[in-house]
Amino acid sequence: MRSQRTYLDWNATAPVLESVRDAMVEVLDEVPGNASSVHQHGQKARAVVERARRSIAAAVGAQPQGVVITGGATESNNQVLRHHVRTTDNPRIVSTAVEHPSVIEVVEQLDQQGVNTEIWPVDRRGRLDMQWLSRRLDDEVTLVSVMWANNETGNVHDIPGIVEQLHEAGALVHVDATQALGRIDIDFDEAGVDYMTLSFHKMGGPKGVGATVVREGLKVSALYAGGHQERGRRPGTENVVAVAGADAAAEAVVQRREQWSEMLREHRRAFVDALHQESSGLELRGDRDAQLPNTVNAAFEGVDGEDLLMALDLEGISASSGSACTAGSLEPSHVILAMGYDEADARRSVRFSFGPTTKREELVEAARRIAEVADRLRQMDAQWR
Amino acid sequence: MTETETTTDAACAVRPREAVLETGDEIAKAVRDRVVVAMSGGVDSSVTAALLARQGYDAVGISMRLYSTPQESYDKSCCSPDDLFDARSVADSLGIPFYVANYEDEFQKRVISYFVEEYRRGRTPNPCVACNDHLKFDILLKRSLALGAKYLATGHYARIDRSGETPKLLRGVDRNKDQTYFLFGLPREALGRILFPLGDLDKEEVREIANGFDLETANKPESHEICFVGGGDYKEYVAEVLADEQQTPGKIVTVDGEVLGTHDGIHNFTVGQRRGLGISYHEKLYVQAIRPDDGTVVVGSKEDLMSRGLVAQRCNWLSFQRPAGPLECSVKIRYRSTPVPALVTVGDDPTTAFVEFETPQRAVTPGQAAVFYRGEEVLGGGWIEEPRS
Repeated sequence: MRSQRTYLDWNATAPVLESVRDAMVEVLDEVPGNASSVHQHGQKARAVVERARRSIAAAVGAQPQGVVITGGATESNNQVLRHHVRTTDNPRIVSTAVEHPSVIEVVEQLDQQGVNTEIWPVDRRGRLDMQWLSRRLDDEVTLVSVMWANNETGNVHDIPGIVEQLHEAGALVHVDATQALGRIDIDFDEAGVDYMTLSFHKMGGPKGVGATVVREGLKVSALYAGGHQERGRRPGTENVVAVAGADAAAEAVVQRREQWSEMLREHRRAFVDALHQESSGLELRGDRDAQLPNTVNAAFEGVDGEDLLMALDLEGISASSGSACTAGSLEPSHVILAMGYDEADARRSVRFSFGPTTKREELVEAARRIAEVADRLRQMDAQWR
Repeated sequence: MTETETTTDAACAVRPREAVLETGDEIAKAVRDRVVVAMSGGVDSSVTAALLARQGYDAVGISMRLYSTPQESYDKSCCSPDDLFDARSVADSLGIPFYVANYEDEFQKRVISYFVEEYRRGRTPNPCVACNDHLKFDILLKRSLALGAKYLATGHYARIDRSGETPKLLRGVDRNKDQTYFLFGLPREALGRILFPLGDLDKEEVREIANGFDLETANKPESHEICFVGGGDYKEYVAEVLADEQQTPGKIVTVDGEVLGTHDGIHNFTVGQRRGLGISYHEKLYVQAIRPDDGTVVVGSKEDLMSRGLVAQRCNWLSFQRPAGPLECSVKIRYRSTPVPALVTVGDDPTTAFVEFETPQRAVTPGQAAVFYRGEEVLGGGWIEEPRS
């Protein structure tokens, strides 16, 4: 008999850290001002925003003046891509086949508007084809948008290596680091990234706040008009409460990231070992040599992912797969499809993702139950007429 | 959200017996059986879910996503995002878990393709029967059992009598709504796993209950159209799907062989049809038969439409493995008609039935179902292959 649910969907969103909650409640209670106001109420709110900017910069090795606080990763991805097209002669954009829809759909839209775009393919393990890229570099690519870590497979891309190659060819690099933050070391300046997208709710921050990080010397313009906030780069009254949450989340990354990564790696190993031990017909997807320490993409032979997710949910385990359409049903993951799996095969993929507060025993127990449910579903399927 | 939130709601897999008894409601069951409710977002399935949840079942709502509707017309039929939204909010108000299952591929293969193909062959398909046979009471039933459910429940107006050794399918009490015509193909062994909570109710009562539960679907209008055609004309739909080369044009001839005209494709015709023939004649003409091989549409008078019997194939028997001998029963040859007395015989192969009406019947339509009743009981049924004169 169970009274607790196990949450294994951190790549969708994560439980809020206690320090984040406290910081937000404090601002709700104590800081009612508008960060743009000149009076002391306003000054106090401004201080919250500026402190967050410094924390965010510190968390990713960037300069505070390059941090534009936004409403989340989707907004930041839109901002960078559209800014680039607006301000570049003959823009030519490359994005990967495994990007998040907030990049891919923008690129598709820009393509329909006549912008030259191309999709960078991956192999069966979801690794970027570096030879493909080098063949394209003569074509005057102006911007490459590539995620630091993939939300579905957990694959980590070699951003410093990619940046080096692209800078030699004169292209700018935009990196969506949403899934990497707090899980692996990301250093904006050291890697030489030009634009970066951040979100805080995958690692304990609040939803609805993110950041666009811009290298010194580069600009990024506002997506829309209406105010001078964020030095004219993000109009609209600052959501000071959420920004305080982002501050606390970034702070936690600075202080605890290394310890988190190590713990997650250990937990992942325990979870995968248990899965291997308990289940049959298990296939782990992605690049096992370079993966986030919190993400496992698994497929069970003869078991449909949608079936498995529903059954697991009723057993008290929250996991996910692909993305939900408007109607709420699951579509096969475009990431797994891009890796060359056919549709039925892609539908078998299920993603388990966890975080620093997930307990090791919880993961091992979950693995046992996942295997049990997968076996039950497989048998059921085999017996059905 | 915390990573280990305590669950006291319906999403919990196993509930302590005390917790169930403590809810204070009149819960007959000490052990909560799980039941999956097929929820379309309409009032019938909403009430089904509400009744079962209220009775203390561990109800789980599932909506089947059967086809994608283009954005501009998505609100015109069932399983549009709006309907799924309605189903979801009903499930939420009942406090039961809810999922959307994507069965687009199966629906395309088993229902839409079948539907178009039948018209192409000059027959009149019944997609609701096909959907029940292949979607609801096959893959959804399988999924329900896989989810640990004891039953699958739907909002059909039909009853299952569990008093005897084996369950029997009975007609719904509301004669105007009785939907057993669409259910003849249920696997016999599945009856024990199915619940039809609305079978004892009439539509009025269902609406009242929906209002009593304050369900937001309580006053939703009923849909009568073929869901995936989305409010449009099914003939246009079929014509669109059938490329020009797949359409079978031909002659319109009388039963005596007189050629009256030509037509663009046999998919435009249904046995018994009077309107839209595009010919003028000194008496009223009805489609009497459609010959797919040469595209001939045979028309005749009302009398020519009468048949003394029919051959049904792919029969499914619900009350027994096969009839022991010639079966005196009544037969329903279309949804909106009353069963009429008939004698049904099967040969060695019980999936083919020969039906002899007590009095001749009008417009026996190949592709429709012939369902056999004895009183309230649904004995079985089959697909009409051809009329017998």
